[in-house]
Amino acid sequence: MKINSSLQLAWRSFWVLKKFRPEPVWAQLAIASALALPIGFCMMFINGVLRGRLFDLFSCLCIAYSMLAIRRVIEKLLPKTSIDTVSEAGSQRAALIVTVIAITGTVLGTALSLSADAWLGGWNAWGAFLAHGAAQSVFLAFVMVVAVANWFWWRLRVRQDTLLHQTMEAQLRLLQAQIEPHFLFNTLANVQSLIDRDAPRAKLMLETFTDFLRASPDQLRNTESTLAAELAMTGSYLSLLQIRMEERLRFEIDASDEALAATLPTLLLQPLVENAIQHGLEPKVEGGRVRIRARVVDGRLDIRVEDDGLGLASARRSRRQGNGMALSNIRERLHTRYGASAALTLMPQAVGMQALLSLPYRSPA
Amino acid sequence: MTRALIADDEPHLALYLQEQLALLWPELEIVHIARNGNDASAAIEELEPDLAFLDIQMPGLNGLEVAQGIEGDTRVVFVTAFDRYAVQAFDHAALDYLLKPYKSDRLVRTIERVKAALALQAAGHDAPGDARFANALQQLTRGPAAPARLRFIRAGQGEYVHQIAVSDVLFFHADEKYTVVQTASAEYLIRTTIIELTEQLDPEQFWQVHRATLINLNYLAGTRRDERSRMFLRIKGHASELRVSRAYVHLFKAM
Repeated sequence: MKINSSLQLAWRSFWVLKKFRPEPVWAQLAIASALALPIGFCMMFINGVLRGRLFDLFSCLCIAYSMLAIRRVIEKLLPKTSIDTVSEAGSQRAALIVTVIAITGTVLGTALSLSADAWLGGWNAWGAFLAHGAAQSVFLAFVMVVAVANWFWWRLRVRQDTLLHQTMEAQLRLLQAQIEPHFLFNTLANVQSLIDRDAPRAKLMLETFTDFLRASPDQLRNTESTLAAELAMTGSYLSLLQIRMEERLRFEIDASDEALAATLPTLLLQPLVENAIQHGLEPKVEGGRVRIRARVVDGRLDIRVEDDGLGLASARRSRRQGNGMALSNIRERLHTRYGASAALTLMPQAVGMQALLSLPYRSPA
Repeated sequence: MTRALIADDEPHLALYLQEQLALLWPELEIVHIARNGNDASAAIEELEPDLAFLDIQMPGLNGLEVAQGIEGDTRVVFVTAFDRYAVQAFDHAALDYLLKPYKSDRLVRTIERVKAALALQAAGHDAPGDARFANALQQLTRGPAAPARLRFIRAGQGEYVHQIAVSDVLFFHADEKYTVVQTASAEYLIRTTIIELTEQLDPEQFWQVHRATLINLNYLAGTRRDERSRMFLRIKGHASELRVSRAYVHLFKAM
């Protein structure tokens, strides 16, 4: 159990720079060996330019351990703050450092294995290496392969990290919105005010509030959801606000069956609706209407959120912040997930604002 | 009889406060229930209630801005779901504040405080905390202090852009969309709001005297009180008088 968890810990932190490493050294060595041995075996079958095939295996181990050692030295030398900035997802410097570690590790490991071979086997490995043009080119090719493989591996990891990071940011935003004091306390105050005067309405309000809160665990656990689930959550949010704002808020949700079945990243839609309310309708004296329309057109899912609120004028007087953050989070997630084939467009209307979310249509079936 | 106004954009909450007040303070007359800040401001001006229960986050003018525009003797109790800064700033300064949802014994405490303050006022005393109230209002409506001092105002007029030295400005006065820059010889329109101007101008030289008005002290000629103890300012080189909101009257008492 303990061995298992140490290995797991070592595996998880194997690919990142860390000032403090809780995992034992043997676990790090074990992981490094486990990665180096298969590569060594492969090379045994591919070449064997220098003496014997076992040498490749030995070299690979030396290289892996050298990389570990160099990484640890760098981690010890750099201050904690710069390690933290460097290991942030998406940082080009992190890629550079990891690649440098890979290249120097390969060079150092090879040199070590050559020297060790000379020392243990009494054979002039260095001389043979220097005399052998082919051995040198193989070595150079090996360094290149290691560097390039490292680069691609790192890119893949960063992409995954970024996706996860952005989803977590959106989930955090949902949690914040739910416990946002204005929202929470005003909702509770409304329930309080209705209990004696209009008990059925108070009950309805509590139930709607519960629906809204209950929708979120799924949204928080997963990164993908269906439009039907997303709209259910948004629907209860709007119903709740409708009880509070009364005639100042009207809303309409209109989605085709095909659109309802679509899968999409969670929590892309909800922040757009919250924006329409908070920046469009809540600050507008006469209130207004929110309309959500979802259609599948030519293999794309188009979701429109329209309001006839303050539109661009709201920016000047809104006391709430963080609007831009929510939008940029949506854009980043679309970009990481779909590249250039998805977009969020905000279009100021004569009255109000329209947000268009357009992404490739995907359905679970 | 004490007269009060309630302003809240959420009708159930306004109605609830009205019911609770009817129970706990039956002599209080609710003269108006406003659904937004603009309505509240107009009703306070017209009906001159003794007391206004103001929600802070409202469409149109917010509760703080409504309070900054009060010229008569109407006193304010803020009713808010949450506003960390407001709670801090008003802890001592406002007549009182209520956090929604509130229990009825908390409302009873508010009623007692209000009654005490109104009694003091009726006896001809100014209630303590007026100066702090104005300061708190000002801090809340302004953003974090920006030390940049504005020296010139640029105002577009047709194809010209006029550059006006700040020292030539008698006062700034805001209406719905624009802010009027008044000099001795002309007036210009700019889009900068009063709040933005207070942040950028020297607070020793420019005083906010109303939600919508910022005056240059160098041109202040004198003050006048009318029979209802509202205060007006006379400005050198300008014919009409400017109104002072109740929250700022204390500024001129110390002079």
